Amino acid sequence: MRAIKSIIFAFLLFGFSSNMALSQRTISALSDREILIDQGFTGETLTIFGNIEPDIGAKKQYVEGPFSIAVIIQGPAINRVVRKKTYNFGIWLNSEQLIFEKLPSYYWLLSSEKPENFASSEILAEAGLLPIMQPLVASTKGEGEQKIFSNELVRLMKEKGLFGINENGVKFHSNSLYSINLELPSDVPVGSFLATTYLFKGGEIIHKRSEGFSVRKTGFERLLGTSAKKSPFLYGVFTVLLALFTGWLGGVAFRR
Amino acid sequence: MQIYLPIAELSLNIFFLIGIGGAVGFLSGMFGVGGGFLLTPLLIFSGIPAPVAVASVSGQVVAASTSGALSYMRRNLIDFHLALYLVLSGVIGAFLGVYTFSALRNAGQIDLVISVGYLVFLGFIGLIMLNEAIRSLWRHKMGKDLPMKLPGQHNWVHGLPLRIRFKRSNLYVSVIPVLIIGSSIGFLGALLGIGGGFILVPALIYILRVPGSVVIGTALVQVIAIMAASVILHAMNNYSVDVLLAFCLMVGGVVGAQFGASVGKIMRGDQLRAMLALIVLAVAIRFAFLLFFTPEDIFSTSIISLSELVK
Repeated sequence: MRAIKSIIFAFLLFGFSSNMALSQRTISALSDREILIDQGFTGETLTIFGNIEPDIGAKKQYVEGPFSIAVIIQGPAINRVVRKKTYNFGIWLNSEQLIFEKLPSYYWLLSSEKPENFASSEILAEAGLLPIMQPLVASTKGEGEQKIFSNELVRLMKEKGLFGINENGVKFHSNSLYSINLELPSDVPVGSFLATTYLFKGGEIIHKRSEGFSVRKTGFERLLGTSAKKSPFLYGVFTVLLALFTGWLGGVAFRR
Repeated sequence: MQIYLPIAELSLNIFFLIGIGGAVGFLSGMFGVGGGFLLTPLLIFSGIPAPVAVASVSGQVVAASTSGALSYMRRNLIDFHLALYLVLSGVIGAFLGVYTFSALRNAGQIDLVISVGYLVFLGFIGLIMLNEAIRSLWRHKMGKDLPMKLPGQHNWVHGLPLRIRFKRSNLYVSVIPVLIIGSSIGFLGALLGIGGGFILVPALIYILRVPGSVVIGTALVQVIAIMAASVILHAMNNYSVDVLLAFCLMVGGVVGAQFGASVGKIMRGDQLRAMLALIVLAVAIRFAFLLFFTPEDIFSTSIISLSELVK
């Protein structure tokens, strides 16, 4: 039961003039900036469409490929702790832990092909696209087994579907029209997301554009989620009253 | 049909939730126990985070105990004076339990404490119950249906100072053991997500000598109070009460308990107790696996809030 929603990014790439081939700017529009989680949310495949277009004032009225695209989708920053179990006194228990601060709660790199195929590793590294998951390692706190813990964190997050790389995640439908397929697991974090698109041509980044969208709970879910955080006392009292009422109703209905 | 649980932040099948609520409700109606000690482990083993399981089951226990308590109240089988002392001390115990819970959760040791707690309590109680039930079954088989040994009128507990008269229970007993029992049950209940009725009832009978007629009704009042307090405290401290999860469990539990109670009436007490003892031991063994066997993954990760970082 995976719903497919689509968000349309319309990327308008403006080619300045013919003698400044690599200097371009963009305007983009996002038709639906919100992904709503409701009662039946079991994760979603999100399709984002984009188009590469020439500048309105440009001499050329068409764009020349071939293009390659890499997109980084980042979720809101959170703090995570990674714990390691060891065998002590005959039982398994969490004995070591490392805290990762301001970690992206969601991090996916999607590209139209293997990034190494369309740009040199220097350019990819400069753009922060390589090595993948680099931002995580930079945000760690503590010493010692830091590297092991970062690697384990990336592995665990990949297993949860919250981190990942998809080298077929961007598909070109024509020379300029492309779509991005994004997997959002059912426990996708809520908050502001950032999609950063890198447009490559001839091994160079000719354009970089960031777009925000948000994932939030809607309807009843949102009401419950926010009231649990904002007025926890009333939320607790409500739960107790609901329990008392349900118990009473059960007693009356079955005449116990 | 999948249902998204807003606090647990995952989707589960609604029929599965109502189903396990109903199954545990059936057992609780049949054996006359709250069922929290079965429901919390089942949820944990189904992948619901332990803090959410403990806090939400507390809500379910309130619902499950309410219909029973109302029925005892109508028949005037509750000692409210004694219940008042148990409730007050129980709520203080629940306070301590929830704060201990938060501290352990921040230290990353809550899963360990829950596993050890369940293993020790369920193992201990299960063995006692099984021993008692087997003896009783043995006697039944030998054809010697001995009357249950009735508790004597007095023991050392009755020699303690600060004595109070509880008219309904026909007791004149020190307030100290009452408060100790009440607060211990409150503490354990909030920490482990159990009503604690299966510890409280024997404690009231064997330590305080509360008469059998009022013991269950009085215990139910305390269970409702401490579970209600822990729901509110867990909601305020850990934001871990999932009302949707709790409600699914309540609906299943309340309905299941009715059917369980009818089945329970046609079965012999010692058979019921032997079955319950085996179930309790099975849950204890399942927790032992978690502790003693090499885990599939020795690494785990969870989100922690900024306030927890500061501490």
